[in-house]
Amino acid sequence: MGCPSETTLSDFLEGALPDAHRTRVLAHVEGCERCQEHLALGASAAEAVPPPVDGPLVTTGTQLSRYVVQERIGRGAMGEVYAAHDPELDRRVALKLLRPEGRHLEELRLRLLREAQALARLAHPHVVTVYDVGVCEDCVFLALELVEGASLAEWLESPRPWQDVVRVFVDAGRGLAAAHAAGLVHRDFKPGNVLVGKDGRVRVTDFGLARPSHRRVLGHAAPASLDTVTAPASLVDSPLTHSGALLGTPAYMAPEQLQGHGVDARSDQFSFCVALYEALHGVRPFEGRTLEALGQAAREGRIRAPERASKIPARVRRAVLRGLRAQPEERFPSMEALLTELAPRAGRRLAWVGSSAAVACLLGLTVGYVAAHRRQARCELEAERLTTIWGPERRARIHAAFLATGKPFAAAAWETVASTLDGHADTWRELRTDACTASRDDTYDSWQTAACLDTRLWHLAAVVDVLEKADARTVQNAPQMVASLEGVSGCRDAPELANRPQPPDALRPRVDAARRKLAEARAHMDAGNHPGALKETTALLQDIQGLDYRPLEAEVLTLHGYAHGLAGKPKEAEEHLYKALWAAEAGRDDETVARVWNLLLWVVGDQMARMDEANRLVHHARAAVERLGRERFPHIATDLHLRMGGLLLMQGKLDEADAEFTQGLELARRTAGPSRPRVTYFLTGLGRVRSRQLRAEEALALYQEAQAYAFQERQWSPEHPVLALNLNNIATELLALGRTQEALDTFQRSLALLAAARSKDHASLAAPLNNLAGLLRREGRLEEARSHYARALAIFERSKGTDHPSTVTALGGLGMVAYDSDRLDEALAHNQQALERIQRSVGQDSPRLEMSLRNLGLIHLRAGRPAVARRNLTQALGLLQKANGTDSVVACGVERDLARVDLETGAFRAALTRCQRALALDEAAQGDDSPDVALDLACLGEAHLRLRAPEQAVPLLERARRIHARVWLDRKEAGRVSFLLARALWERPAPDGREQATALIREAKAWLEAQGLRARREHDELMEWQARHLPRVSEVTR
Amino acid sequence: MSQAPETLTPLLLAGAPESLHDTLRSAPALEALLTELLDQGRAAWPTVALAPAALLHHVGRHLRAEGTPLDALKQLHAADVYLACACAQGEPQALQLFEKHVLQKAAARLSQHLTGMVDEVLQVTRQRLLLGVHGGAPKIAEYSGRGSLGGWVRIVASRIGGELLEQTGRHEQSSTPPEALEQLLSRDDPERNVLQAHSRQALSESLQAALATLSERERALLRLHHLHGLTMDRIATLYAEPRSSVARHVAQARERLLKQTHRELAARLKLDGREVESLLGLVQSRLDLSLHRLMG
Repeated sequence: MGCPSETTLSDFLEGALPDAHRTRVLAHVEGCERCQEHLALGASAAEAVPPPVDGPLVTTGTQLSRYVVQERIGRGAMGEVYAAHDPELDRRVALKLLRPEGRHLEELRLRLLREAQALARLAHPHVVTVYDVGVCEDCVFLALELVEGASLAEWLESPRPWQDVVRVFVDAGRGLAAAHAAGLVHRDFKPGNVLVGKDGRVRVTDFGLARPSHRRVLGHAAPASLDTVTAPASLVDSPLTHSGALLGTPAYMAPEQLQGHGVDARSDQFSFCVALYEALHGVRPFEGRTLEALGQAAREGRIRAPERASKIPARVRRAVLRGLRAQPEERFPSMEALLTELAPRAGRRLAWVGSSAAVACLLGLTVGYVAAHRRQARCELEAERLTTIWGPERRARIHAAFLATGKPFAAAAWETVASTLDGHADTWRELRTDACTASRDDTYDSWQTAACLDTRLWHLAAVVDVLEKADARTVQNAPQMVASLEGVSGCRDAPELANRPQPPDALRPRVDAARRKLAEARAHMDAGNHPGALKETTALLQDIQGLDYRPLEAEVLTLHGYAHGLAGKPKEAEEHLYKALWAAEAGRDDETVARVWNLLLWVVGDQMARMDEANRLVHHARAAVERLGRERFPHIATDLHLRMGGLLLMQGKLDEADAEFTQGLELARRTAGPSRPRVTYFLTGLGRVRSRQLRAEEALALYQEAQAYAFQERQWSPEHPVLALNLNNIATELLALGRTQEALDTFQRSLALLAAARSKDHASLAAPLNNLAGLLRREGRLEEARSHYARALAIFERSKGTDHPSTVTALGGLGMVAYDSDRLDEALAHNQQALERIQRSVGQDSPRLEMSLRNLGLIHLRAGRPAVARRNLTQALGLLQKANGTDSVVACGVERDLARVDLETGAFRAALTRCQRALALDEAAQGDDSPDVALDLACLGEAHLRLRAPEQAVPLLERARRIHARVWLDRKEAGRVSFLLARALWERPAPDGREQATALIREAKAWLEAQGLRARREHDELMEWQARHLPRVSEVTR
Repeated sequence: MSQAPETLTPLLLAGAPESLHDTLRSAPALEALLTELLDQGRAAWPTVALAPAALLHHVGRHLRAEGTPLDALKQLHAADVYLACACAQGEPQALQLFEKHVLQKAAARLSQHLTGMVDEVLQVTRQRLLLGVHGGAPKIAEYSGRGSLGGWVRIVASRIGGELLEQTGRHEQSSTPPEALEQLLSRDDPERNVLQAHSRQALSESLQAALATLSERERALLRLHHLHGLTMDRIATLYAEPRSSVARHVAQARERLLKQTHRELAARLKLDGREVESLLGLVQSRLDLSLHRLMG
């Protein structure tokens, strides 16, 4: 038996079923939990609901949140609408106030929030703007743009020429189309829900029923609210409107909606056409005294004849009738298609010319007045505008300016710039002509496309202006600068995404002018001229005061903040970026919100190393990007991956950084446009992760891939200074792989590139200086190492601050040079300071404390404090294992250091165990012949030797020596291996190795001597051993 | 406003099953009964205009072929059936009153069970109840007047809620009795939070296993009473048994559940008796609490 009917269940509950029937139902109910639930709800006593309050909810002067209530301007069953004043922004708003009568406040709040979210996703001139949503005591409110004007229903009460009617409807239709594009269906479109402002702007409102369009439930329409219940403005005297009070507004509903089937954008199209038919012909298209009859008429296509004869063009009439088809598939596929049919042709053309003339003025170009009927000529002229910006003459001038800088990379940079701009210009010209000729068919899209293309042209013009006055720095940054030109094809494919929010018409000239200036500022910034960019943005901030257009304010502040960050002023950058964030939030500018969070991550995390805070910002950034849509705005999403990866890497969270870079790389690779150059950065980022994971071969390959990609994309040229950073990374890996000579050469090349292009203390020099210092130290060239470290430290301190991990690395390095020189107090002071600093920036528990702790361990050990050394090293080991697991290769270095402590304190067996573990891990992760394996083998050999097991030590040390023979590693270590091997051979019972031992001693001695001061202790130890065992040899060599 | 004698009976007969006609015609008090029915409806909803023919046809249609029609008519929820019938006719005032007095009250009740989706449920309910589909009468015409209109509407809405949940994947398709009963140990119960994860797991498994050993009837009794809060009186009505015997059945089911749970728990956790008792105490105190609350 299936579930009994509602009536049967109800009867069952009341004991009103005949007994036999009752028994059957009971048997079913006992096994059916659903029915039990239904019964439970049916049985519960009805709760008393207080009758609706008739008086106003609030009185004039009441303060709700920050709004001061003025007069009531509307009332519905669920709530009321008041005019109110927002003292903070000094503007009037409409407050929609809902009372939770007998319903749960939470429920209402959810509904309102849904409406607010729906609207917030729509920043569109023809959709009413939501400013705020909030709860106060027992009320929920929504602050909306207050439109001075009338509803479309009221507007239509006066006789209007059909052209005006169509124009207003087309505007409203654009608002609907924007909603559809955002995935929303209005579900209750009617003249009462459209506002015609005194400024003439048309806005669609009351999205209370709106719901994401993809959700369909059971084939039943299920709007989310009762909002239209007895809304007085919508009551038109029709027999249906009373029942309409219950069901939205059936007179305007599509048949599928009346029947409770799935509703989509095409249902709104139907409602729109009902309203338009009524407005044009004076009668509703479908007649019906009951809902059923109404639906029937619509399903059968029985359309009432127009009440009044009119001169409405057949084209418009046909379009409306098609929108009224009963079958959704027979209507237009989209609102846009319908609007194209409706839009009056002549008016469209005039508007078009108007807008392009305005743009031309802003560009400062001479454009002759073009008669509206001469489309072809106009389209050519549109394309002509480009020639003034990027034509043969300017091309030649820029080429000359580039060469005049005399920089080695100028020629290559010119190649890149010329070919990129040529391509950009070609595409622009093509799209602009297309948009121009196509505007006959599709006014709205082409308007969007044109606006988008014009913005791109400003940017192009600004870039070209800067290039024309190129100096060395501009030339150097030129490839990046032209790469930053946003792709123009986006203007055609998805203009609504490629476009910034557009201001109301009244503000347009000022906003457009400001945006053009902003493009110039951006061009300065891309050219590396940060002070120039700052000057522009500072002036702009003055200019736009009082303009009250939040998205623009947000754009300017974002660039202002970013420029501060690039100019090395992170504090100011942070402050301005937060202001940008607030402006963007207030302006419902999700795109800028996401950009700003990304920049804040960079400033707070990367630049100021305030990790805890950065880790909190991450959630905001992720949420903002998520709201925006990864796939809709891939370049913002890739940006987040890049920033996140950097942040995680800085904190030593290698696996997470790996995942972040990998995802970003994947996204950047399959995205066209401005994300392309990011591929290089992701490859580099992954390289840095591999490097930290001690997978040097892989890291090297990734850096090399990045470089090849950048060359191929013309992002870098072989002379370009940015290449220096990558060379620096490559050199580091070469060094780790024991390819010392190549590493040294590469470091020198890197530094030479930078020296040619940049001042002596440029921020980019710090990293290669630091790394080169490390290499020099390893070669025993302590004085050079010290001065390089000192330079790197000074630059890092200035550009990144005292506590930044990079700064701390240089400080530690400086300390270790002192250690090598046996100035242990100095070494200790530097490294203790380094530890304090790194703790300040990354916290007490970060694996990034490793370097300082290990240095301290070695210093204390040498100073005869093995217990302190052991404490430091154990702490480092714990941190590394906590972050990377107990069997990670990353901790092997510390293990070896601890083994050294064991060896010096006589705990030989402990050392043996440690180094065996390290050896296994290193072999697995880095390969049998890797430099670290040589170190593990040396450790093992020494431990066996101390345990008086020379037979076991010999093969291990021989293997280590083979590795050192193949690759040029630290000669101090190599010398030590040879010395240990000599001793092992010497101590073996069999005397056959003594000759070989003598040779090995000689080899070791030469290497250790070459290291000078750094290997003095090792050298002394050797000399002492030699004096005891090989007096003859020592005499000879003396 | 009463009708003249003999005018209402034929209107009722027009809708009533053929087999009842003789009984009804021979009932002397019928005309007065129907007049009273009509008057009650009009008194409850003075602004609603409804033709007597429509009301009586509706009432007649819902009379059962078996049983005693006169008693059924006497027990009818007169005001409710009047309103429902007027709604079925599409009477505008009735629709507004239905919204205010029935649907909105149901909403308050529903919102406790279907948080966040009451609006959706209500809208579908409106469409189902008030709109005829494909030329048929609106579903509200199915309301018989034997139970209260509010209860009937809540059952309809509850079903719709279930369907919506199922459609949007917010509700598991399969039935989940153990979890449902387990809610007796509410999630934010601080004592429960103290339990070790593995004890919690064991408790949950034990309850499930114990429930499985109960009969379907025992499970239904426990669920109806403890989970859904049906009173003993109501359950007595459903089972057509005296209240005392129903109460005994519920208590026995509870005892068996506890005993089985105890056994399962002891087997699962190697706890000493005292610890099992204390674990079980949680279950027991919860059951007792709800028992007292509901039976009182």
